Amino acid sequence: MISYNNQIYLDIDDILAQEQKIPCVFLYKAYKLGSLIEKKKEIKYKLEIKCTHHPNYDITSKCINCNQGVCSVCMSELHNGHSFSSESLNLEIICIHHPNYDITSKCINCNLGVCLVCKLKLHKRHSFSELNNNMSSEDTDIEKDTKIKLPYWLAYVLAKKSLVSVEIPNPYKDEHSFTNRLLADPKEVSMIHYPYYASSGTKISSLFSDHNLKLFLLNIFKKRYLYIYNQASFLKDNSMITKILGNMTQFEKRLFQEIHKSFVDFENWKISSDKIEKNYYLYPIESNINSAKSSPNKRKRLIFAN
Amino acid sequence: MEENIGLTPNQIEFLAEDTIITIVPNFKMESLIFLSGEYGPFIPSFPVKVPLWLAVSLKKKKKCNIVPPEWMSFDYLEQQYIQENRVTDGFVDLPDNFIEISTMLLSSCPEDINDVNKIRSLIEDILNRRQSKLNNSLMNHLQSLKDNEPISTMEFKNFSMMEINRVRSSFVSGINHLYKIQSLDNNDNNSNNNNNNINRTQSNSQTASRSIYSNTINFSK
Repeated sequence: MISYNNQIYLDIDDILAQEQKIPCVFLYKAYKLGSLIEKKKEIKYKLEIKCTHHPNYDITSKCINCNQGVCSVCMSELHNGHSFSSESLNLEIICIHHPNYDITSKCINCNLGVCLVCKLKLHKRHSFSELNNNMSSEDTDIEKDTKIKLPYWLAYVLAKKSLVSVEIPNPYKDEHSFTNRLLADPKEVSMIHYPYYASSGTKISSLFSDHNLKLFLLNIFKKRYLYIYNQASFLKDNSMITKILGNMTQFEKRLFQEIHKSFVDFENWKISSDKIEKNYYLYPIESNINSAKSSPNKRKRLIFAN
Repeated sequence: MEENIGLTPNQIEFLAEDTIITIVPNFKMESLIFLSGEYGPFIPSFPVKVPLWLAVSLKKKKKCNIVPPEWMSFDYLEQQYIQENRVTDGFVDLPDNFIEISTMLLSSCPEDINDVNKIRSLIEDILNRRQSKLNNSLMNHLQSLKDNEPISTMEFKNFSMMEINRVRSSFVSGINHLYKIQSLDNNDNNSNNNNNNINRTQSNSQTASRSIYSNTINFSK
């Protein structure tokens, strides 16, 4: 929370940083909290769907960019460079016969994936089995000693009441590969998976009363801050900027943009005031209107009647 | 993250235009009365003191010649530049708002100033030198802190308002962030106690100060 001119601004970093997952072990049985458990997406069975473009090949995975099922030939020819996932094979594959509908279940008789319309028209009176991929919304009990990952805001409260025992999450652990990379060269490590690394790190270090973690974070962010400061004051090349920004946490992105903006503003001001304004007093009305439109940042000067 | 802290360069230029410089008019008029004061009767070839905004607009109508201020001579600036290079842990005392005044004068009346191009490049050199000194001292200060030391007061003297404005957001946000990481009391379900004491003073003079708990960054004359 920031108090500024007697108004209070919520620090969004603080709130979003509390989503960091912390592995917890339940010490007691928790009733009706089953919605906390995410069901892993399992490939229950293999769907045999022929690819539309290459009729001899089965669909083996899903292209994430285009949201379509692809066969092995498609992967190399039509979807070159896209990323694929073979896990959630059952989700969101569009039915061949009815392109507006997703495949939602499997026909047991024909061993094919079917959409709603297929069920009604093409596979009448066959039996189906549902593809169960969504998060379970049943409220089952969580048994004692189950290990699940909870967000910080929940883990903190449960830990204070000693209902769970918590463990430091992976990116902050001592010997983990991520921390080792950070120790080696903090500037080059990409924070793309941990956009709130600093804020959640401070909360975690207070939860575990781990002073070393705090010092570690301080050192890293000191170096990154100096790097950002130096780069932001000189860089003009937009592609380099986006490349650097891609590796930063949310806070660092905003910081970079602020610094960059103030330096660029100064440069622009300096350049624009060096320009000698021509014909300023010969055509008082028209050129004034034009100049006001074209440079909205420049304030108008008072004009004495000529 | 606080937004819109500080001024835009145009606003600072506006504030700087109140400074008084001498002109030599070539027309005759009785004294002008403005809210900010009365600017004496204009007699051809008699120097008169007016604010900068008035001088620039008269110049654009070709009604006067501007006498450059005393500090705008090549010798004085060169002396300051040499001094700047010698002193590594402070900044040289330069006149208030020299950046704004110099850019305005150099753009509106280059013919009235001796050695215009030399002065232009010299001022740029001075600015670059000061900025890099600031960068280096920040880097040295942060890197020299040992692990347990909190980030404490930093003081910069003789920094002009335009330069302060340029680095204000970087210093304040960055160091505030580092301070938050290292502060002891991090149980942030009520984090207002950490950040309530941010005082911010907009500077019309040469000082800008911001205190974050016990940290202070002081820019003073």
